[in-house]
Amino acid sequence: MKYLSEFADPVLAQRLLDEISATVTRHWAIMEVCGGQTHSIIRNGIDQLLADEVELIHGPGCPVCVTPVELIDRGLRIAAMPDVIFCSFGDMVRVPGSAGDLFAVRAAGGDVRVVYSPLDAVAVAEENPSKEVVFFAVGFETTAPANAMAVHQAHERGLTNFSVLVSHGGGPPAIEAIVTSPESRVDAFLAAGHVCTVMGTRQYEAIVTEHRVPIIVTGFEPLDVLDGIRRAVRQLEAGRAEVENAYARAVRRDGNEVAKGMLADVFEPTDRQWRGIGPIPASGWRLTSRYRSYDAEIRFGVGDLAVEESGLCRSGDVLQGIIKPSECEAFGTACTPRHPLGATMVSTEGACAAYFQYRRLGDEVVPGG
Amino acid sequence: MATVDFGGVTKTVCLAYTPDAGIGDYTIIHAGFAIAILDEQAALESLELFEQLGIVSATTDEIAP
Amino acid sequence: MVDGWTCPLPLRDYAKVTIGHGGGGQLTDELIRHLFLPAFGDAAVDATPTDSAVVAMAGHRLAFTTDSYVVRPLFFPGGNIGELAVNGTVNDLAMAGAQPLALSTAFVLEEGLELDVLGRVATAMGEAAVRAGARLVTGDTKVVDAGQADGMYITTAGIGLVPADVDVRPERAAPGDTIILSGPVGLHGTAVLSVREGLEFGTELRSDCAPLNGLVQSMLATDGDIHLLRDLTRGGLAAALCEIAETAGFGIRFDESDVAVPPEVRAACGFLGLDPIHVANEGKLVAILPADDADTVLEAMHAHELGADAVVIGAVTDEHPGVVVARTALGAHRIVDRPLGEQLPRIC
Repeated sequence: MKYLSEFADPVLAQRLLDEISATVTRHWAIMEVCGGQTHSIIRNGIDQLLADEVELIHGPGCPVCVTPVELIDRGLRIAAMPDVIFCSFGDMVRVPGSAGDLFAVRAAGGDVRVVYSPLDAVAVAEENPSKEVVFFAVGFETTAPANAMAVHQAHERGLTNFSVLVSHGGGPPAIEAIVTSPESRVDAFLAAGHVCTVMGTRQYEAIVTEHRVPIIVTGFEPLDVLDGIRRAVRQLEAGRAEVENAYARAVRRDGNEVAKGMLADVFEPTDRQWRGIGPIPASGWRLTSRYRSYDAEIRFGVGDLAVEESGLCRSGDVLQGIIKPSECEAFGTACTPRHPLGATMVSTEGACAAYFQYRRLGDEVVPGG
Repeated sequence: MATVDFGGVTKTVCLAYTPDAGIGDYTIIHAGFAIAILDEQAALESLELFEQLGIVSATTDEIAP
Repeated sequence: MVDGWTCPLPLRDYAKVTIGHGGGGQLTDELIRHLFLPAFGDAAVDATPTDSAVVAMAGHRLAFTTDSYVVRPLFFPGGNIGELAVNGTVNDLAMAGAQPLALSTAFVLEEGLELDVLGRVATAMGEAAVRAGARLVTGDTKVVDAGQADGMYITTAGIGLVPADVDVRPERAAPGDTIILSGPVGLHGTAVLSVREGLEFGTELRSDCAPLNGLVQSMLATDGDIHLLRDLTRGGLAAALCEIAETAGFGIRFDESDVAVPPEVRAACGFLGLDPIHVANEGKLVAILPADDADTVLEAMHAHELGADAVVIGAVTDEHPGVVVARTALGAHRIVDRPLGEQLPRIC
């Protein structure tokens, strides 16, 4: 694939690493916000190659990981209903709610289907007019336009048997919540490149101005991640705080106007819960009144299903770099990758899951350490 | 809808969000949608910058006392 | 239903069988260790949770194996369920160092299946058996109601003879041993996914489905003392190496740059969010042997069409027992885990 392998070149990676080492003079904590970047860091071992002064704090991970337990439970309840076909991305089917996952619902007779695109779920609705087809609309702003289009198309085609269970979140409020936390140790952020292909870089300008924290819009290939880190270190060392675009081949200042237009038509901001972290104001999206009838929570009356998140989980503290995963009491006991309590253990690349893995080596090699 | 070649593997994707995409353009695909047209010039400039980094620091090393 | 039977070590996550229990990953392993073996009791005292067992009989050692095949769709680029059923069983025997002798074939057919389809599958099975030098000696046919069996399921069992001087088994792997991989990975899984309903994508890729006994014979014919052979199937290279590390109680390290991944496999894995070393193969193996014997065995492999791209990818180590560590292209390290269950596309 064009412009993928080029951005994984080991020789150029070494040049970027050398440049980072040559620039850094003191300790800096940089958070990569997106699970895709964490994946790339762990997958390629980038954290082990960086200068000791650079600490990477893994962010909240993927949208799946931060989906609150109660929303998953709502999905499980809907999926178990008769005459429902429940469509989901593959990411979501193994994520545990408070009792079981979508695979367990399927084993108990529920019709759960894995789709590649939300439009596939719309097609399922068209082919099955006697069934209720529900799509689990999970994702940050990268996926939201696809999901918005599915709702829009269902509306255009007059499909009354299609609805979506919305778990959209992200955006500047999530970064702002971390920046404004008094205990946060994060010095700079690598923002999610693909989110910015849609939303643009402009959305971060206010945060940078107000909180004086560098935000580097960063891609996912190894060289992209390294370049994001390089630019963050350079700004920090120079005492600058700017929005910088390290993913210029895909991201423009205003993002994708067409997609943003569709998003504004279908979704509006709302407060939302983040698994293991808690509520963040205006960090989620819900359907606008025009499309409210496609809201599966309303259609199936599951909106009042409430679940207490585990009081043990300290993923919020892990995310802010306040504690290491192993300092959490639940780590490795009440909370494991198979039985995760919070976002950072749900995701394979989450800080806690990564720690859990590395612990098997039995030495001091720890990710981001 | 259009066919996108992922380097020997092709997939049908929705171009509703990239109305300007033409044949031969590289795009970024997510969940069956093209969400951005890749700016080849910018990609080459990034790679060029990384090349330069190496040369610049190598030169710096040489002239360093 | 067995009266009063209780699971000795309850399977914690699921009260019912889920798709993941058949994925050849951690869940399958739990089912074997915590349900089947305890439930079988004394009858399973000699059982090893491996793909084939070697039993001594009248002065000979026979390898014995069985496998069920369920694949959707029945035909995929480069093969079909029948070819898979024969080659899979032939390969399980070959990994014990055995030359396959006789195979059984049992069909569960769905009411309404086109006889033409069944005929094409059966023909492919005959051809695959001939290619492997094995006979199809017995079988069974059952039909279930329409809607119950995805067209057809096939179960094959096979026996093979282990030559007297051959001793290939997991316990022989030792620290310092070299690991050879027979060729590029991910072809079968990618080819099947390309025609899976809802995921379809265009590709010229074909499954690598093939009988490996010929390749194994040519390897065993050398002076090299092959300690262990393992074919790569579900869960890919990662699952195979993890299973070896866990069974042998040693660590494994390998270099990712040495594992050939065809560009099309990499591209498909890219948009499906999969790791190529987790993707299924049906015609690849890893061999573990003393480092000094690697060149001899590699030479024999290169002379065989199914081993032409064989390379050394890593080694067995006494560090990090039970754990597989990959050296990344950038020169760092990462822990390789086997997938939990079935491979699912990751989108968001």
